[in-house]
Amino acid sequence: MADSWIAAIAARMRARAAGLLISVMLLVPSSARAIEQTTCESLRVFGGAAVNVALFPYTYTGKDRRQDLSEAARNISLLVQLDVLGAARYGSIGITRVLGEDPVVCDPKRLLGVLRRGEASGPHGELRAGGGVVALWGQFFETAGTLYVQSYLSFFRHQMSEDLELPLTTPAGDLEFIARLPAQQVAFRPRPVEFADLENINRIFYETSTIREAPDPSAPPVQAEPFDVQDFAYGVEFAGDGWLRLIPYADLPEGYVRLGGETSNFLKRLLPELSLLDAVVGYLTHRVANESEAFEFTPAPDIPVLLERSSENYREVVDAREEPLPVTLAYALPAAAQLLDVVYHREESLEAAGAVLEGLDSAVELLPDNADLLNIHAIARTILCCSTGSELGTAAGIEGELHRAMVVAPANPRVVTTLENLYQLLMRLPDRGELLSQSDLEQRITSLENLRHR
Amino acid sequence: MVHAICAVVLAWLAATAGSSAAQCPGPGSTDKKVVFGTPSLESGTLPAQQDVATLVDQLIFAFEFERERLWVEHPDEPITFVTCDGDRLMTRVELRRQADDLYHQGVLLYVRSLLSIRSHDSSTEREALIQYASVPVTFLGQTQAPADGLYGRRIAIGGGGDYLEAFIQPRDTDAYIAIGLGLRYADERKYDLALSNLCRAGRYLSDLASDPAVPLQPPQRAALEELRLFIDAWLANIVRDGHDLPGAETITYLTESLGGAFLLNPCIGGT
Repeated sequence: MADSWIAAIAARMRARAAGLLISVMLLVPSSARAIEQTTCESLRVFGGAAVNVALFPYTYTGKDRRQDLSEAARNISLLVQLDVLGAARYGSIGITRVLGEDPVVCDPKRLLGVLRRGEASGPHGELRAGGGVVALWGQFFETAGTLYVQSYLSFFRHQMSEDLELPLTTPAGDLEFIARLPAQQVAFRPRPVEFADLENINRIFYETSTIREAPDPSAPPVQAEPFDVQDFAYGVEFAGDGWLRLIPYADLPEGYVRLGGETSNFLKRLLPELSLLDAVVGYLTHRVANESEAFEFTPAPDIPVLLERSSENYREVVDAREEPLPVTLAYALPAAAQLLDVVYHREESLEAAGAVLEGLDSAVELLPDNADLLNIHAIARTILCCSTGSELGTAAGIEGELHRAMVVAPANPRVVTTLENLYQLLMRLPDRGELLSQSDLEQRITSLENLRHR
Repeated sequence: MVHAICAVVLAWLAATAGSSAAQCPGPGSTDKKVVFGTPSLESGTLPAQQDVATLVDQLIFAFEFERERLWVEHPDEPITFVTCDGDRLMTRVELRRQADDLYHQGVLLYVRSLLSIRSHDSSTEREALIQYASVPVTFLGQTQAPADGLYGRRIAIGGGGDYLEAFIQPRDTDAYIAIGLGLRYADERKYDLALSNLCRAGRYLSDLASDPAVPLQPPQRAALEELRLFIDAWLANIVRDGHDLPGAETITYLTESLGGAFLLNPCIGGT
């Protein structure tokens, strides 16, 4: 029975997403991956990319203005740019490295505002509605002789709510659950940096930033340090054996750069949050591919699986107690992707929903005061428990979780909707055992409707 | 001689503080805000200037990062985070005297710190005290329940680099901000929001009190317990008095659905 209503859900969502099959000829980069460099004053993006990653400057703001730190802060974003590019396997991505030192112009709050208002454009137009945007920034600082690097991450889709709409056809009729991720901005814990790491950053930067004529380390350089060229923009193709082929959009040399395993391993240790960034890119790509018509690209077929792998890589190497919100996000992203996948495509994937629940259990334990996390957890539990009544014993627990979410965030309409849907489902069950009577359920549904409209 | 050295250091501190714009609360600003004060130096100590410079730098950075974290993790909170230069620790008497003004200037929390460095023949003792002044607790506690609103943590600074992490615990600031918000919302008759924030605060305080990694002296522990009781009293008032009033729609719904169980446990297992 559960399978049948899940099938109906999927059918409805397929109808909704049918527009995606219409090919839209828009200005998209010829490559599914592109990189560019710009400044804080003139922030640019790839309008045609399903997901844009903006790497704001890493800063060093110590009073001493140490040269090696300032240089490392500037150079690390290129390594991050190439690393994110190397990891990108979801379908369509543009990565912009933003340079600048003016703390006012490069203030992340200001830059995020520019992106959110859609004021950044580029060689391929402005951000399109529904396109994903991820921003990463950070700073180096020194305390008691130890150097740290700290990063921040923010993401959204342009002109589109990040809510997950989950329309379900159930024995109680068509119900729509609405969920939201527990966070769209996170601060990571400061991570210690060895002073030798600074030398590594700068050394790898100079090694990496040489474009060669052929995918061969002995091939002559086409141009040394092209990454210092203002406003460069390249389409990128993988050329095998860790090499990238750079195809210029403007009057710049074509050639190859190498992504070394050394860079990747080094950055994984220094900035494990890059794995979470990759998961965010996967999540956004999944949503863009299934919900936005303005993008033409071929998404990877197994995005939820890929992004779970990246999330797991992040979760495995950090201490959840030290950075609970990012870790919670690392549980919630794959869970959300799986829930959406049930709706988008896979009518048979109740098993996946079960796997979702396992991750969310851990997340709720870690952050029990996040209403949207409680809500998405309750939705997954409701889908599993209450369509057939086979696990009715958990219904009271779900109700308690939603009551708690109401206390945590009284104005959260998504929580009210889930509770109302739960009661609707329970009303249709022939045998509710010790649970609420029909009249109690009716009264609560009426009260919730009143609450929603106040 | 001691006075001369202190004067030099304090002058240096003032110069450092002057490098960033002062945003101290003042008349006319009523936005809800959290104020981070510049670290001050205990008067009468004999500091080594380099030591002080390093410590002040570290604390300023730590506060800046804490402010950034709060901004990033709570983008929708109607709170601004400001820095205020040249502050020193407040006494209870001073806080009570200023609470009225600060409350009406929207201050939820004042975070200040004091560095104490004493040189002996062969060694230097360094200690830092962080002080959280919860203005709403002081302002509302004067008439409605006994609570002074001044909380602190003292930590000896060793040679290692981890003391800042022990010193500035995100949960401290999260808890005191939630308390300040909850009490202000209660005072503004936004009962649902008051309930939400005070429940959150209660949980953070419980976490704090039970965390073996957080060094708390018995007086600090007792002050936190008193604060928890103060919060519990407010929670009981909110759910009792708010029922059926505007701003208490969720409380009303939960009271009618859960009855006495909700009145007994308004955070629904949350604290």
